[in-house]
Order: sequence, then structure tokens, then C-alpha cells
Amino acid sequence: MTTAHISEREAQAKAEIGHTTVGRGTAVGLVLAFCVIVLAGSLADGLTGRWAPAFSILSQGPEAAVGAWETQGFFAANRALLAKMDAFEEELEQESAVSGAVQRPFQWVLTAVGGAGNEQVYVGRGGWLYFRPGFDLVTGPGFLDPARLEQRRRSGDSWEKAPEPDPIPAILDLHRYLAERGIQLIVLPAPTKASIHPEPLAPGLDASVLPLHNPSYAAFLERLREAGVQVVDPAPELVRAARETGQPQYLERDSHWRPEAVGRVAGRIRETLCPPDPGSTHRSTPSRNAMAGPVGADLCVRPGSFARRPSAASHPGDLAALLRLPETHPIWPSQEVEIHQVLGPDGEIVEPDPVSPVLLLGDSFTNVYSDESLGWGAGAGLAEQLAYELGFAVDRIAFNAGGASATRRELAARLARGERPLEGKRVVIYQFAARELAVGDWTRLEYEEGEAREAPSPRDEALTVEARVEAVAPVPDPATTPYTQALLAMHLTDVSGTDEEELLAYAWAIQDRRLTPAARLAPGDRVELELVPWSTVSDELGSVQRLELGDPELWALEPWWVAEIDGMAQ
Amino acid sequence: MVFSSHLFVFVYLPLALAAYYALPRRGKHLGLTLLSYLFYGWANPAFMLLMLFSTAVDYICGQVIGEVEPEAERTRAQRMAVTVSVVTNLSLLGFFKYFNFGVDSYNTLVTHLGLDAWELDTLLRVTLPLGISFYTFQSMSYTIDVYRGRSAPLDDVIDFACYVSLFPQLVAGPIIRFNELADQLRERTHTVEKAARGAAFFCLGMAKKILLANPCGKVADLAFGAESLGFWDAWYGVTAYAFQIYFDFSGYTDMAIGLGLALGFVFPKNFDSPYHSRSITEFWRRWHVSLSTWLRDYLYIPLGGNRKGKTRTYVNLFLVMLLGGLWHGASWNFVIWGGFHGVLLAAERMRGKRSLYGPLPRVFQMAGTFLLVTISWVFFRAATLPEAVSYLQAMVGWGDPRPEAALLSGVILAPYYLGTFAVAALVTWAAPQTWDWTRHLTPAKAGICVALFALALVAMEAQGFNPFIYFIF
Repeated sequence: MTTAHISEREAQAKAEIGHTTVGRGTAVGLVLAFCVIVLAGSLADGLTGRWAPAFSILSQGPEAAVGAWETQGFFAANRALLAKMDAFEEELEQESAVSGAVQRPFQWVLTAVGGAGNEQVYVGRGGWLYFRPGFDLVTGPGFLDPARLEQRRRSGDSWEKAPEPDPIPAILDLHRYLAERGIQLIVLPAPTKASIHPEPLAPGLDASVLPLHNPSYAAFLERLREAGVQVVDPAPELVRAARETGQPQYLERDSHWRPEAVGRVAGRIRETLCPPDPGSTHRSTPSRNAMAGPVGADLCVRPGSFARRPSAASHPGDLAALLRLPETHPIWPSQEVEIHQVLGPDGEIVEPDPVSPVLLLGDSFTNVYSDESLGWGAGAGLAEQLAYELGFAVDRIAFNAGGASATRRELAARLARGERPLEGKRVVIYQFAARELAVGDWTRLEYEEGEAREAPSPRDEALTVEARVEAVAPVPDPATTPYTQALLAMHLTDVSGTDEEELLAYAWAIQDRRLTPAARLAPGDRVELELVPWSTVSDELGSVQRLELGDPELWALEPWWVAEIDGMAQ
Repeated sequence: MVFSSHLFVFVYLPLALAAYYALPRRGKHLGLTLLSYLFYGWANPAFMLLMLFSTAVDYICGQVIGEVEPEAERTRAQRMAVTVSVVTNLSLLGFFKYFNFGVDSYNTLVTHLGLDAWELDTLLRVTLPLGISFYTFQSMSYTIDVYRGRSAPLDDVIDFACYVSLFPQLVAGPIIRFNELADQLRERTHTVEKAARGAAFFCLGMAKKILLANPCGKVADLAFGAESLGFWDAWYGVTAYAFQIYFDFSGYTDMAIGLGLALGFVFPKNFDSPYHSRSITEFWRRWHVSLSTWLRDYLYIPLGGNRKGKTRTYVNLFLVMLLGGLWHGASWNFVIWGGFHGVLLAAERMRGKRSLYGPLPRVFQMAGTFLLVTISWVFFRAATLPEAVSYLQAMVGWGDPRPEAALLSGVILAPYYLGTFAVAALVTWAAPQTWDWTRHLTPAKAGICVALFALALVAMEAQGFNPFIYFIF
């Protein structure tokens, strides 16, 4: 019976598709049309040299694999080869003329006609756009749900280690470390847009249920507060403000809050630090110079001398940019907002103050209206508004993206390098985007103080080195991040051209939403680099999204900036 | 590498076809084997070694077994050879596919028993090699068929390596048994008619995958990713998944058949309008036919099939579906999915292969079968058992959804998704299947194929969302 059936299937197949009724002309025409379509894509890229960079990357594969094999064995060689193959494929797609020609018009049709976004952006009514991780936070499973935590812990692969999904131990570690030094931690989760303004997606939603939250959010706040951590949750106030003023608190086509919301949050932090005296009609103002005693008393004694200056800012929005619509045919106009730049006593925009008693750790919710690369102006971000509210400038460590670990890691790295980022600090405000609670890597860190360096590093000269890439931070698809730029960290060994045996260096990974040559590096590659001390570029690049290496051993190394890779300027 | 990728369509495919046709006849199988290893190794070069190992073992076992008459008594060496082949393939499959599942299940058990100290380290995770479920079954069928005397062993190792690694159907089927391809490995024709039919299959398969499966998959992903959802959203989500898995898998199969034709091979049918089925028994004659017939011939019949009484028949049906579920993936959800179908098949067998709703009009029988299959997809799609249960609760309106559930509608009810859903339903129930539609290729049909292919490629270049469900099996 089986044989008969197999014969029957084979015979049926041969009878049904082995014989086709088709005219010779139609058959030839169809085959030709098929070949033309496929070859058009190939030739458009292949003959115009667009394949050359990709094949150049692929040709490095064997050498990288051999290098990795010699030092780390078979699996490392396999990983190195696979990294080059992945990079080859990414480069092909990035450089493709076909892809470039059709992507934006097709997305325009999808969005303008079909009302759909893309993998990262969802479209609501009235041109409101939502960043997918924020949407997923609100609609998805509880981020503290044990099954969800376990699922995320097992999500790693040979490229990227699995994240530590539970935010609470990481925050409590920081709280304990700071508390031991008499420093108060204030946790500030920046709500996601869908929490505060869900109406464009759910028009009939009862406003009384706002803000919307992840099922674990209440438990998260409760567990932090039970452990003595002060939490400022701005969500209820932002909902109230939206209701009372009738004005949105978030930008329509950007993932961030509006300038008014930043001001409100700064005010709320001030109230937390300096609760109003019940017997006084005056609000107390923190003291810039107060360095002792409990927060809320001696910090709040002196009026400030900062002023605010209105200024206009206009931008299409990071989410609109992430949709990748045709630049010549935007569906929506740029949004205009009025920002309030904060001026110091000297009339200049207030700058972060390293000796301030308040340190703000933040992400792009801190940087928006302050970091001009985000497109919404400068001098009016959360740090500046805090300066206005508190009466003194605050210190700031902030990176766009990665709020779950980027700033904590930077703090730990500075401590490990013997810097004193917490000297004189009374309060640390830890701001992160609430979406990080569901998607961030909450790796627990050890805050160990290295030996203090009295003098700046002697390395203030540029170096030209040849080195082997020991490890390089994984780079995300530029289409998945709302930021147009990112830096990556690389660990270099087998270094020639300097006395150092190993180096930690940063380079551009993404510029203008395109992967750079450094993003194509893989462990095992040998590179020639021109390096300059990180301090020479830190002011300019200090807030850019950073893709880091996970190994804490590297944090004590002084970082360098890669000015050139293999003769190519960055 | 997946068919619906820039690399495959614009780089690999033209180079592979050009190389294949440029090679002399004697070199075609070697060329095809090398191209197939490149295709397979693109996912992970190390996986090539595994496939090479499986191929070598089965080739040697086939040689040891040699040519035998079906009725002749097998020697000890022949029995040993087929045992080595089966054990090796099942061990590979078992280790790579079920190691993680075994460790996780063991840890869950000891944790529930309060024996936390006995937990195994879960840091060691085994990566599932692409398509291992398909090529181990395929390769194993060779030695079994040779052992049973249904096929003669292949002397040429290149021909055998070509059969195991043939890239069109390597990673997601259809599972092609050796005796279905043996003749074609020795002799096959390359005609422009075959190539045209192949191009039509590939175009339509690509359109199914990109234009229908992907948008439906987005709706399904959102629905299954939500913590809480309303009654209608739950049904919309799971029905969208039913369309996604059908168009995804049958679209891939169409592309595989099309590529096979372009290389001169004729592969058997794998989907036969499964959602037209009027019973679960009929569904399994129409859905993933190459797997269901493989399971029947190499598992159900050896277990005794229907030859050992009614009770044993029901047990065999249930067992085969249970193992079929486990073949799809290592999780209790797949076991339940298989068991659910096993129970329904056994129940229908009790009624003489008639469905429980057999007396109803034809359209209601189809609706009833689709409903049961769709309910079973909940277990197939949900990440965990509690999530499946929670989803089923939403489908019966059990409990009030959280306010956050309202957000979901704002995304999945966008005109693009609703429109695609409607077209998917129309194609499922009102359009002819690829096999029939392309049998008589007219210029108009050729034009439609080309237009759909071009549109699908445009969408492919623009969409970031391009999963392929059966790659993980």
C-alpha cells in the first residue's frame, strides 16, 4: 500500500506539474520576465559597484576565522565567519539601489493609505505615532512575571548574552551603594507615550483609567518604596495636566515628552527634594552649596538665580523619521514647540556642573531639548529645568538609549577608573524610559572605586596602533532605534605601536541611520587605528547612544576614540 | 538563508541558476550540492558539518544494506546498518531539538518538588540547527526504503549528498522521500515549460508569503503578545495566525516546488487547500502532506496501523499525532496540539472517518473543521501553556480585559491589516490553488504572476517584518 501510494503521489506530481499547458511564447516570456526582475536587482547593484563593499567584507571572513581559530578555537572561528556573513548581507541590503528606491514610497502607501506603521512605529489617529517597545510595555505581559523573566533570561545567543531582565535588584544595588555614602537615590521612570495618551489608538477609552500601565508596574513601585527607594512617578501628574490644560504632554510624532512636561517633572522633583513647609506660603529652594544634613532641609534654603528664555524648535519627530517616509513627500508637517532655555547668572545656557550636589543619570528623556542631535533644540532639557527649579546647576551623565544600564555602567566605569563622580553628591536622580523595564538589560553592577588619579591621564597624544579586535559590542539594526547615531566599544589586544597590552576604544557604529565600517568589525579582525584620548571628544559625543561591552574588567581601562580605521577617517 | 530575502532573490538565485545551467551534465549534482551547502551554511557554517555527518552515515549504511529484495531475509549487518542510521538521525534530532526542553522540564519538576539543589545549569543552551527535522527525516527515509527493498542504494555519493542537501526543500520541506526522487536523480528533463511553471510557482509563493502571510503574522504577533485582549481581537488574532501559517508554509512550499522545477525536479504536492476540509481526517490529508504521509508510512504502519483492532488503531492515531506535535517543537504546547488532533482523529475514526458534525451542510462542515483547527493553532502559536490558556479564555469571553487591551485594536484594525485579512480569506476559500491555476498558463496568468512577484519584492524590500514560521521546526 505504501509503495502504491508513493508511486501515486509521484505520478500525480509528475502528471500535474510535470506537464504544463502553456504556449511557447508565454513560457519564454514568463521565464524572461522572471529573470529580468531578478537580474535587474542584481545588475543595478552589481554593475554600479554597490556590491563591492559587501564582498570586501565577505572576503575578510576567512582571515577573521583563522585569527579566531588560532586564539579561541573552532566555535570562535565559526562565530567570526558568521559575523562577516551577516555583515555582508546587511551591507548588501543597506547599499541596494532597489531597496533604496522602493522602501520609502511603499512605506508612504502603507501609512498614508493603509494606516499602518512599520516594525518599530505604530500609527494612531490624527497622526499620532507610537514607538513599539513603549506600546509593548503597556499591552504586554508583566515585566516582573516569573515566566516572562525566565523567558528573557534564556533569550541570549552566541552573539549577545541574555539580558538580566529584573530591574529591582539592579536598582536596589545602586540604592544601597549610594545610601552607604549618604546619597539619596530618586528613581524617575519616564512614562511611555501610550500610558499617557492612548486615545489616538483607543478613542473610546474611559479617561478615568489613565495612566495605563504594565501589569507589573504597581508592584515594581511598591517593592522599591518598601526597600526605601524614593520613586517619582510622573505619570499621574502628566495625565492630570493633559486633562486640565487640554494640551498633550507628549510630542505627536516623537517618542518623547513635550517641553511643558519636562518642566512639570522638574517641578515635581523639586517638590520631592524640598517639600513645601506647611507653615509657610513660600516655597523653599534648595541650596547649591549645602553639603550636609538630610535632603529636603539644608538643600532647600537659597533662592536660585536662573532665568528662562523662550525659543522655538521644530522637528518631524524621531518616530516619523523611523517610519522612513519619502523626504520629499512627508505625510505630516514638522511639529513646532516652544522650549524654555535655562540661563545661568552669566546669561549663558546653563551647563552641567561636576561639583553639584545633585547628579542626574538619564537617557534621551533627559537629553531631549538639551542635546541638539535629537533635533529639538538645546538648553531646555531636564537637567536645565532642574537647575531652574532647584536654583543651582546639576551634574549629568546621560546617553540616548539604554537607560537600564548605560548610565549605571558609566558611573561604575568612572569609579573603577579612579574618578570621583559622586564626590560631594547628595542626591542621584536615576531617570530611565519606562519601556526599559520590559526590554532593558538590568545587569547588576559592582561599584568599586579604583585608585584616584591626581593628575589627568598622561596620554594626551594621538596614537597609531595596529591591533586585534578581541571583542566588539553588538550593533542593532539602525532601522530599529529611534536615534540616528550610535557609538560602539571595542576591546583591542595584541597591540603594536604603544606599550599598552590592551585598549578600550569607541568608534562610530551608526551615523545617519547607516552602519559604519566599524560596525562590520568582528572578533579576530586585525585593524590599524588612529586613536585620540576620549576626553578630547567627550563633550561632543558624551550623550550619544553607546553600545557597550559587558565585561566589567574593561571598565578600568581608559577609553580612546577611534579617529581613523585602516586609513579611513571616521 | 530564506527565499524571501534580498540576498537570495538578487544574489544567490541568479548566481545559482547561472552556475547550474552553465555546468556540464555530469557536474550538475556536484555543483548543486555545493550550492546547497552554501545555502544551508549561510545560517551557520558549523551546521554544514552536522549535515555532512548525517549524509555520510546514511550513505555508508545504504551501501552496507545494498540492494535487497523486499521479501528476502535481512542479514545481521543489514539490520545493524538500518539501526545505526535510525539511531544516529533520531539522536541528532533528539539532542539538538529536545535537549533544552528536557533540561527545562526536569528543572520545573525538581523545583515543584522542592529539590532546587538538583536543578541543572540552564546556561548551556543548544542551538537548533536549521531544518534538522526535515533533512534527518528525509535522509533516514533513504536507508529505511533501501532496507525495505523499495529502492536501490545510490552508488554515487555526490548524488546522495545532492538528494539530502537539495536547497529548494532543504530547510522547510516538503519532505521528499528517496524513492520519490531516485528516478529524477538519475534522469530528468529541463524544459522551458517546466521553467515557466516553476517561475509561476515561485512568483505566487513569494506573493503568498510576503503580501498575505507577513501582514497576517503581524496581527497574530500583536494579539498573542498582548497580556489581555478582548473577545473579537482574540478571534481576529488567531484567525490571522491560521492564515499566516497557511500562506507562510504553503507559500514557501510553492517557492520550493518552483525552484525544483527550474532545476528539473518535480516535487510532490504538500498542501491541497487544507481549509476546505470537512473533517480533521481530511485536513491531515491536505495539510503538510509530506509530513503526514511520512508519519503514516514510517510510524503509524510500523506501530500496527489499523491492523490490530479498533482500540489499537485509536491509540496509534493518537500516538502518531502526539509525536507529530513533538516533531514540530520541543514544548508541551506542541504535545497538546498534537494530542488534540490525535483525539479528534480517533473520534472521527470511531465514526467511520466522518466528522462529529458530518450531517451538517458542506459549508458548516468546512467551518467546523476550520474552527477546530484554529482553536488548536492557539497551542501552536502561544509561547507557553499559561499563555495559551489565557488566550483561549479571551476567545470565550472569560473575564473582563484590562483597559490596556483597547490599544491593540487601534493597531490591528488599520485598513491595511483588515484589507489583507479579507484578501487572505478570499484566496483561502474562493481562489484556486497554485497547482490548478498554473496548469494552463495563459499570457494573462503569466502577467499576473509577474506583477504579483514584483509587488511582493517591493514589499519585501520595505518590510522589516519577515519571519518564516517553519524555519524553527
